[in-house]
Amino acid sequence: MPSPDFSNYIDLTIYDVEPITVYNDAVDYAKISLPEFEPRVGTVENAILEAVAHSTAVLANTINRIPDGLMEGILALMGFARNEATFATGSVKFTAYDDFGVTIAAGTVVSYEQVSGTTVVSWAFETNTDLIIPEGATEGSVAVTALSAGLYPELFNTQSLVIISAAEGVAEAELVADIYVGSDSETDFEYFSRGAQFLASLNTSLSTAAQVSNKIRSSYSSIPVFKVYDLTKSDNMTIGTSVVGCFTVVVCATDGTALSSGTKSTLQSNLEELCVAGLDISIADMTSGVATVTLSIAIVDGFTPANVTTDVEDAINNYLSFEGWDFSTILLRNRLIAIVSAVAGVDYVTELAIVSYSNANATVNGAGNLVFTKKGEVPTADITVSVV
Amino acid sequence: MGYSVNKISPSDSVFLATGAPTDRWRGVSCSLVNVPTIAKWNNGSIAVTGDNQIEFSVVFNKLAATGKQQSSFSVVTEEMRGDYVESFVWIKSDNIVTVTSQMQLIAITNAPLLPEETISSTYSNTRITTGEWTLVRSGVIQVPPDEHHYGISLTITFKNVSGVDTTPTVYISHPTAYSRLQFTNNPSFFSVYESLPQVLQLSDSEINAPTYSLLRFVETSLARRGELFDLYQDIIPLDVSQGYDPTDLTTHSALVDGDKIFPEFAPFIAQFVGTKLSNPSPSSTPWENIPGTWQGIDEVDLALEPESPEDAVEWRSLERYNTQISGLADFFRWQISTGYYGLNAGSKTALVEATKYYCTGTKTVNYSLGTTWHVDIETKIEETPNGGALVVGDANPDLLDFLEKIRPLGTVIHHELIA
Repeated sequence: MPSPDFSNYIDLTIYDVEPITVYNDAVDYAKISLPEFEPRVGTVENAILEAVAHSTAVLANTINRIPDGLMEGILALMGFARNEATFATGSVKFTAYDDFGVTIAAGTVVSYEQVSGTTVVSWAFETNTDLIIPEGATEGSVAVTALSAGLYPELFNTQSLVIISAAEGVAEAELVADIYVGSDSETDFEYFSRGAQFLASLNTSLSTAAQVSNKIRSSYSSIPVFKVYDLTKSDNMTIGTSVVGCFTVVVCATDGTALSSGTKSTLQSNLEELCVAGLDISIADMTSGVATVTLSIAIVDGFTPANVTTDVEDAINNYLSFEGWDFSTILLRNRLIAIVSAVAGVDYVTELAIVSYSNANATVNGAGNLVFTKKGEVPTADITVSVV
Repeated sequence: MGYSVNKISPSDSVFLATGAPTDRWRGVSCSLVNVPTIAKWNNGSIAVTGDNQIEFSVVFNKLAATGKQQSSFSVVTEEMRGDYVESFVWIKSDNIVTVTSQMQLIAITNAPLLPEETISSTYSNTRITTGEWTLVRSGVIQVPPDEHHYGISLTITFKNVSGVDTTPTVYISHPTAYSRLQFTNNPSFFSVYESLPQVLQLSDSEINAPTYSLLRFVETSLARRGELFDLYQDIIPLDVSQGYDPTDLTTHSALVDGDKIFPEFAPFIAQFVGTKLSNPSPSSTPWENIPGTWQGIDEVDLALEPESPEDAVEWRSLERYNTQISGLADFFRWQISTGYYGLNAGSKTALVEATKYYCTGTKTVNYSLGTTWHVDIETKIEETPNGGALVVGDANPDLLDFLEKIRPLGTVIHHELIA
C-alpha cells in the first residue's frame, strides 16, 4: 500500500442494530409509553416484542448491505475488477531409482508438508507437463503449479517434497529454484479501497485535444467547422512551432466565413470553465487559399466525359473544402490521384499537378506536394481537367 | 428512540448525581436529596423527607413567589397544541401515605401571570401501602390551541395516614410527561393499526391510564422500525412523478442528493465523486446551532428578560446545543455536490467557485492567467476571511490551502487581496 494512503475505503452502515438492541430499546421505551408494562419470558407480549425485534434487525442488516453492493456494482460497470488469487509456481527435480528411464505424467502431485504439533498442513503442486527421464539419466526437472490458488509459504531451492501421486520408479523430488508464492484474493476492504482510489483518480476536466474536439462536436452545433491545435497560441500559428500552456481552436462556418464574435467568445469562456485551469485558450478564424490543380484522366468506355469531369471536380472540391479538409500539414499529390481514381468512370489518371497556391501559407515542394506552413489554413481548389 | 418523548428533560428526570436535585425541584415542608441507588428501573430517585409534618409537597418547575414556571424547559411544543398531556411518577414509601398529583401548564411570559395562563389538571389521589413502587398519574390537560408556549409543572403532595407519628420517607422516580397521541407519529404504526380488528381499536380507545394501551404496545414494539422507515423515507431518491421537487429539500434524498445528504453518510457517498472530505469548513464557528445573538441567547436565558444586562445561561442549557462545527454539514454537501475536490477538480470553474464558497458578501473573484501555467486570483479583503492579520496586496494562505486540492498539476496559483 503506498504511503501516505489517503483513500482507504469508507463503508457505510446505514442503520446498525442487533435484535437484542431493538428489544431492549422497546422495553426501555415502554417506560415512557406503557410504564406499567413489564415483559416476562413466556408471555405473548414478550414474544411479540422479540419477534418484531428480530425482523427489524434483519431488515436493518439487509439495508446495510446496500452501500457495499452499490459500490461494487458501480465499479464493475466501470470495468474495475477484483484482484483474484494467483497460483504458486515452481520447478521440481525428480530423481529416479535407476537409469532405466522413466516418464512422470503431467498432473503428478508433490507436496510440501508443514508440521505444527499434531497438525500437518500440505501445500501441494502438480506437474504441468509430462517429464521424461531418458534411459541413462536419473534426474529431470519439470514446472509445477499449486493445486489451489492463493498464497503459499516461501519455499526455497533444494526443498524436499513428498511425492503424493503414484510415480513408479521415482525416488525423490525437490525444488530446483525458489518458488513464486502466488497471492491470495484481495479482501473486500482491499478491493473497495482500490476502488475508492480509482474513483478518486477520475476527472471531468477537458485534458486532451481529443476531449476538447469531442466536447465541441457534441455540444456546439453553431460551430460546424473547427480544428483544435494543442501547444498553439493564436498569435503564432506557424506549423512546427509550439507554445506550452496554450491551445487554439480555429473555427468557421461551412462556407468558410468567420463566426460571430459572440459565438467565439462563448466558446472560449465555456472551454475555460471546462478545461484545466491555467491553460491559455484562443479562438481564431480559419484562413484559406486556392490550390491550382491540373490533371488529365482517361475515361472508361461508356461514360460521358463531361459528366466524369464534373464528378472529378466535385470529388476534389469535396476534399479541398472547409467541410472536407482534414487539416493535414501536407496535401499529397498522390492523395488527390487516389481521390480522382475512385470516381466512377475514371479509368486512370495520366497526370496530376498541384501547380501553385494562392497565398504564402502553403507552397508546392519539389515532389509536387502542397506543404502548409500555417495552422488553420484550409485549401480550396481551382481545377483544370483534361480528358485523354 | 420512540415517538412518545418525555417532555421532562433528563437533567430533571435522572437523579444519578449525589446531592440535591436540580433547583427546578423544590420541597414544601420537606427536604429533597438524590438517591442514585434507589429507582423503579434506573436513573435514581429523589428521596423526600417531611419536616415532621403530616402533609408535605414536592413541586417541579414552578416558582413559589410568582407561580411562574422556573425555566423554559419542558415546554409544550408546537405539534402538541390541541393534544393532551399526560404525566406520571413512580413513588415508593416506607410508610402508608396518600399521594395527590396535579400537573399544570404555565404560560411562558415576561408579564405577571394571568389566571387563564395557568391550566391545571384534576388531582389524582393514590394510597400507597405496600412499600413497593406505585405508579401515580396526574390528571390530563388539553393543550390550548393558542399562541402561548407552556412549561410543564408538577405538584405532588404526600399525607401521612399511617397513624404513626413518624415522618415517612418517600421516593420519586421517573417523572414523565408526554403527549397523548404523539406515538401515532410512528410511520410503521398505522400499517399495523389498520390491520387490527375494529373492535379492538374501539375498545382500546375506551381504556384510560394509560390511554390506548394496545396501540401503545404495538407502537412500542415498532419504535425502532419506525425509525428505520423514517430513514428509508429520507434516503430513497424520488423522481418527479413520485413528488421530487428540485426546489423542495424535503423531497431530496439524504443519501444521494448532495444538498441534503446526512453528514454521517457523506464520507461514503463522497467516494463516488472521487472526494475524501475535507474538514473543517472555512467559515466555521465553534458550534452548530448556538444562538448567535443576544436575542437568541434570551431563548435560553434564565432571567427571560429580552434586554437584561444580567443575561445568563446555565451550562446545562448550552449543553443541549449541537457541538458540531458550524457549517460542517454544508461544507460536506458542497464538496459532494460540486465534486470540485475530486471528479471536477482542476478547472477554472472549480477554482472560481471554490474561491466564492470561501469568501463572504458579494463573493467577488477576479480570475486571470498570469505567465504560462500561472493563475492569478483576486478577492476583496473584506470578503476574504483571514483573521484580520492580512492587508491589501497580501496573499491569503488559508485560501490557497483551500484551493490546493483543486489546483491543476503543474500550475501555480497566486492570490492577492484587493480593496
